[in-house]
Amino acid sequence: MPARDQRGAAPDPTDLRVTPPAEGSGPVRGDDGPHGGRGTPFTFRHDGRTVTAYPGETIGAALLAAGVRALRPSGFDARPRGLFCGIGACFDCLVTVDGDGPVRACLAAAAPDTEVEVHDVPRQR
Amino acid sequence: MSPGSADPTRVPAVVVGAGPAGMAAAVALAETGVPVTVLDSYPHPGGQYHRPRAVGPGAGRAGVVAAPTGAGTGTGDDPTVAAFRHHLAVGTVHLRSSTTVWSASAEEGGCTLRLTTGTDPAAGTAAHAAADPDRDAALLHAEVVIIATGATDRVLPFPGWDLPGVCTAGGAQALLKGQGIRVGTRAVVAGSGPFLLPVAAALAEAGTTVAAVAEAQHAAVIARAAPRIAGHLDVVTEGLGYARVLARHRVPVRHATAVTAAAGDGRVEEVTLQRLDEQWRPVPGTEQRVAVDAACVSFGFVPQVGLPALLGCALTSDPVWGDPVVAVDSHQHTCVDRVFAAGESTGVGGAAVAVEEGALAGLAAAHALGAIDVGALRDRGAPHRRSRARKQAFAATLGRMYRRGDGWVHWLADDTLICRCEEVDHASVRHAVTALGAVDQRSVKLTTRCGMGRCQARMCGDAVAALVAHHSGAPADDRAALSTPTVLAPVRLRELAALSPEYEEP
Ligand SMILES: Cc1cc2nc3c(=O)[nH]c(=O)nc-3n(C[C@H](O)[C@@H](O)[C@H](O)COP(=O)(O)OP(=O)(O)OC[C@H]3O[C@@H](n4cnc5c(N)ncnc54)[C@H](O)[C@@H]3O)c2cc1C
Ligand code: FES
Repeated sequence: MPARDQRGAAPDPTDLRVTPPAEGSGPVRGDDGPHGGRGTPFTFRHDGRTVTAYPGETIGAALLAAGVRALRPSGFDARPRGLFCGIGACFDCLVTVDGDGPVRACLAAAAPDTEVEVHDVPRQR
Repeated sequence: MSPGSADPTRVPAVVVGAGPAGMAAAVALAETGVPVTVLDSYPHPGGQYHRPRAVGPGAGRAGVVAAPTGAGTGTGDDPTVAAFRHHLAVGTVHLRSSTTVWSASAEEGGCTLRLTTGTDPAAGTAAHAAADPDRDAALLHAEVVIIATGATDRVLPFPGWDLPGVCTAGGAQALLKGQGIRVGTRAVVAGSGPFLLPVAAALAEAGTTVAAVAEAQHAAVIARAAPRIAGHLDVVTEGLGYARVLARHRVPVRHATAVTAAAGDGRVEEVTLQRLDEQWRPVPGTEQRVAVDAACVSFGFVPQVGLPALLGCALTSDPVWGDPVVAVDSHQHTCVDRVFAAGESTGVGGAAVAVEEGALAGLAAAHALGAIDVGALRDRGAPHRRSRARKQAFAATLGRMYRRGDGWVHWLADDTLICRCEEVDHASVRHAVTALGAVDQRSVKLTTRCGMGRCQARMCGDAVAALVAHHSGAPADDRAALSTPTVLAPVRLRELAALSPEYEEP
């Protein structure tokens, strides 16, 4: 399928997914729709809702694209935290996956049919 | 001896980090005939600069596709990436991706590295292990080690900086380059340093409304140093390119301006832009509120020195920034026998410096292994040494251009968080210094827990040192003399079982 201007194909200004320019590496499934070129979407569950993700997306990226910015309450003061450093250095983005973890949402790849939960571990001063 | 020989846990050479420095080091070593094992935490090589796209066609190929503009990113024809790819293909370089060194020690005859695998320690491990049997080797013994672990964004705290939607500029860039996701629909890019421009340009090209770029430094200070960088045409051209992109998108670039507060209900909804005086003190009455759903902040980068500290490498204070950096000699040799370091862990200079340092570290490591003689070390290294000197000098000039003023501490409120992990606020840090007699970052940590959390002070260390100096009136302490972290990354319990039994997930 020929490359096409995905920004033109995704007029929704609130859509945070930018499809990177196609690379001419042949047809990719899921080319149609506003996120063409990202492959075939799948879903996982987060905090009771269904979230769409594309192959290769991290949990944090998929949640951000779904409008979820607050990922967990901080341990002492329960202040909301989200993606901060984006590269695995700050540990603000912790979530649990299928009860396992915590994992850093900015690093861990989203996986189909997983249950991603808020990592809420209150701490005492 | 090669990575494929009888004992896969014993190899001649390990490079930690597959960014520009690590790739250049691996290539230089491999070209002397030494088999190289490269370890990197990420699923794909490239580091921060050549961070590959992880989504869509061509996913996983370092440097193939950059951010939508190509701004501040590696390109497909980068010679280091091409050479690295070649050595991977012919098997002279063996890459173990999604592999993090979480602990290490130097002994007679080499170093022992302890590894954890998976994108994140609890995720994706089984799949990786099945695909690559030697992934499960949790120990690696190497005769020589080259450290190329890079840097993280430097962020100075401000009220509301812990709100979701406030992120590092590097993080925003990584999301865009790696994931094709923009951090928000309307953003400000703020902080200081040349990195703000490519990030703002990339976001604007990706469709984000960039309400402003706020550069804390005064334009006059930058202009004063400008003649000294005019000779570096490539960099000047690159900078002008970003300026053109920003102009096309009508993005205002404001100097002597900072984000001095962020506010919102559960996430950032507005930021306060404020003028700064020459010392970076906020000027009262100049506040301007701007509605945003993202604020991307960076004041440059802080070298990652956890691994070299564990190996016993001496650290020194960066002459421009004061950050602890690995001390190396002209061969990129640390004070520990057969341990070399290159790239931003030895001081922030950008990808161009990192590759020269990497190449020199690779050659010196090859010499240490007896693969090349001293004449070859000298001759092959000569062009890299010249280039390194020129580029390091340029990086130092840039650093001075953006040298920060001490007045930024005045934008902190008493309840502004300094340590995000342990949730220690400004008033507590000040109290530790003025009432409890804390004299350096370490004593602040012991009295307040500031810097004791998961991030190992990577997010707050620099700010705390500045606050100690500010509140005590003493010059900033020598941060190179700080305590070493126990582990570099979270590890699974079974990986820990062999070691300190008292470690618990904080
Ligand atoms: C988030 C971020 C984004 C950036 N984006 C850009 C950009 O777009 N353009 C630009 O010009 N500069 C960028 N920079 C600046 C960057 O530092 C470059 O100058 C350059 O990438 C430095 O090269 P390096 O090889 O020294 O380190 P890096 O490129 O940072 O590479 C270091 C590598 O080491 C690995 N590593 C670290 N610790 C371990 C460990 N314990 N075990 C295993 N692996 C480990 C990391 O995964 C990483 O891949 C960015 C910096 C950051 C922090
Ligand atoms: S956002 Fe910092 S660790 Fe994930």
